[in-house]
Amino acid sequence: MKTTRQLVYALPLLISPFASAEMRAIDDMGLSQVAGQGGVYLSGEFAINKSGGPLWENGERPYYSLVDHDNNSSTPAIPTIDGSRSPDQCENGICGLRFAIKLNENSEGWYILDDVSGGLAFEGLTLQTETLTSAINYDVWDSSGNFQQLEIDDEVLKIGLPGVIRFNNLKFKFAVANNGEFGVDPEDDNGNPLMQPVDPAAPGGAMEVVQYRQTDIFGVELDGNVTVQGNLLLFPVD
Amino acid sequence: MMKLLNLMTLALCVISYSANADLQALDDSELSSATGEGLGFAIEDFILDTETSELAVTGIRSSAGDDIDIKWTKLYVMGEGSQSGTIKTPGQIGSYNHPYVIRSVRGSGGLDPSDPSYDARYANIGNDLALLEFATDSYSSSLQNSETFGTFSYYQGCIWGEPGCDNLSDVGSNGVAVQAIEAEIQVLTDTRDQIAATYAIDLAPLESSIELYYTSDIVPLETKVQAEQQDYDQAVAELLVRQDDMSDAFDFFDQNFPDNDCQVGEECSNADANCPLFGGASCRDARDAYNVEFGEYDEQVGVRQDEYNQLILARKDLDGAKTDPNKFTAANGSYIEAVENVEEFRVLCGVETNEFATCGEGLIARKGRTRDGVRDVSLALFNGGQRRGGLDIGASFEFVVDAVDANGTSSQRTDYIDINMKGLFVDGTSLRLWSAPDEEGVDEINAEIRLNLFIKELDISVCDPFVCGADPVAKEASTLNLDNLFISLNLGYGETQPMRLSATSDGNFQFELTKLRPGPDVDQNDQNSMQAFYDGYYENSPKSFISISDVRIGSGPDASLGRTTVDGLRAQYLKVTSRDL
Repeated sequence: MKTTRQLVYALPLLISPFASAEMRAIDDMGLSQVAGQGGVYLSGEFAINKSGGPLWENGERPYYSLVDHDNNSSTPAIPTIDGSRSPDQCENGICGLRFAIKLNENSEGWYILDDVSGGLAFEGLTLQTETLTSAINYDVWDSSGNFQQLEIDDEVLKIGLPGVIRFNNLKFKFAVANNGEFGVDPEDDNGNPLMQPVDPAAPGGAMEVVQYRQTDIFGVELDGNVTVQGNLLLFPVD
Repeated sequence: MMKLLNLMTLALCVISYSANADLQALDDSELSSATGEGLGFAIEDFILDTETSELAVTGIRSSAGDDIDIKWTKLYVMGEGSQSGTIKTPGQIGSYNHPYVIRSVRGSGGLDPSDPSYDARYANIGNDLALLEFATDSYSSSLQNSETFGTFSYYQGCIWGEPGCDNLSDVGSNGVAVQAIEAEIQVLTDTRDQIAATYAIDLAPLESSIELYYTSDIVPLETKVQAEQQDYDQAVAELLVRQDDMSDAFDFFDQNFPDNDCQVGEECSNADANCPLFGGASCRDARDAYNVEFGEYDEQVGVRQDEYNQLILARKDLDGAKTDPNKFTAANGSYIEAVENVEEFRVLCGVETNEFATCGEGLIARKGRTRDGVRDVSLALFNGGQRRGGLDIGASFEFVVDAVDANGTSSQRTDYIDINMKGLFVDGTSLRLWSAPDEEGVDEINAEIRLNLFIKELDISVCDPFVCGADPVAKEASTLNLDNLFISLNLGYGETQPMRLSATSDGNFQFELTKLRPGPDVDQNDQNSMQAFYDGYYENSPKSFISISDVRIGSGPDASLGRTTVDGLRAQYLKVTSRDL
């Protein structure tokens, strides 16, 4: 059953960016044991920062100023905790994972998935290849309105959705910020604090340091069982 | 199976691209492997239902800065016929023959249409760029294509398949919808015929006559009106100066000799001046000085009136030249009617034609094609064709907000919103992403969106479910119903006008539809080549439109607000930036 073996190799690759926490690569021995089965049945649970992440384990996130420690503007300034700004208090003392993405090289801001924490569990995600023998062609029908059934013989990858996904206080916030890293003032190309005119209408005037800013657009919290049924078919198309 | 494994590799590539977010231009060897094959996917028998789980939306603040507590009490995605999510009906999202697709493909810009790798869909994106496309299912038959079916439903005026809207005698080659659009086309062709019948000469000579008449008759009269207007403006300005002088002289006289009975703006007689008989010389001098200023003012009033009369005469002459049918002798009717008629004819029949007898690529031709699509659908339904099932999607929210009554007492109030979409289709939708240098030469993500969204029925209710749950009449009375809502949103037009997403330095998101960017093959200093560029843009770039066959609040006899359509939307430039409140 060469087919299934290759499939199982491919699977952890696909999932790994999202759920490396609880999944383990199967060694050759293990793989040899799955041979002969029609597919894979997966149960899983993963949790993200459920009791706070390593960076902010005390439940708050401080703000940082960029300080030029060696009085040399050609070397990068060092982010230093700014005591004058009171730290961001995470919900229930738990700071979630932060994922920041900059869409364009010269974009001044970042899109942020912030404060991701909580968990989800599922049982009965199935994965198998299946040979489809017929497929509906919705563009052709007979006089009683029945759609044409095309006879085919194509292999597809079929992922059976688990039926129920149990969410355990999973939450995230969607935000836009002027730095990817939380609380750190944005820096220019040389690693020095980014400056802006105090009065945007008078660009030649006095300058000030651009402080870290984040705008939370919205957040979502999920707790409880969500029904997710169906079969996801994956196949190549020309 | 090897094919499947390739597919996996592709899926991984797709994931890594989106994670990097900055799509890089591909080199030749990479480009040669982007052949347009992709990953197809479909979800069979899909049900998503949050049932008893607790969802909340956070981060939305009231005007007072407090977090608004929003409970997301319901969310479901099911097949059509789920009765607002109460019956678990499996839904189909794409299918093996009509899959959703993620693919990486080269642009076709610059390729000859006979080239085997040419694809008209990507013709506005250069062949040196690879783009990533996400596309939903697509259908070749008009009945399954939601764009044509949505247009059919708009003209049919009801939700096909519902009780009262399933009579086969209402469809077919001469069905209700076909008749409705035929009637619209008839009005347009009547207008066209009427315009053509008005003139004994043809379109091209008529346009030359209009141009000639404009230079020989209208322009001199317009120049005259301008000159008269200047004269009048000067007269008015002078009048104001003299009025001020007169007021000053009067104020001086009035303040120093308050016993007078004189009025500003009238001659001040000896008797009214009440100057003392003895020692009244300074009073009399002040009165005389005022009377001199009054005289000059009074004279200017007459001058202004003359200028006014002349201006009105010049305007009448100009107006007459435009509207008097006897003055524009080249054709029947007046000059202004001819200008309007030619303009309307061009809208109806396109800008290419030179004769009234030929009707080219104009509104009539476009409506004709829409009619063909509507007739296809109507005929297919008449011949027993069925529309595939769509999706039912719904969500309910509870908002807890602070309410302040008339006495200033603050209390908490709960608002509800319940959204149910019955029969939703998104076929023909696509999102294309590619990377290209911006004006400063820095790579950025460009995008193009084609969104087709058809919803048979969209209900938005704001009634408290504890009140309305048991009372369907009360629920209906506070529900906004939209029937046959079709939205075709087209943003971006290849490299000519890409859409871009960015974020500002103060932490807000920005969405921009760029100004038109003529490609390197367009000489921007040459008027003709720029004209050709703009003509091409206006002719080919897709427009957006929205149609709703019925908007209703409640269910009473006068609950309907009628049908709505917004047609031909196109943005030359659009920039949206969020603001933190």
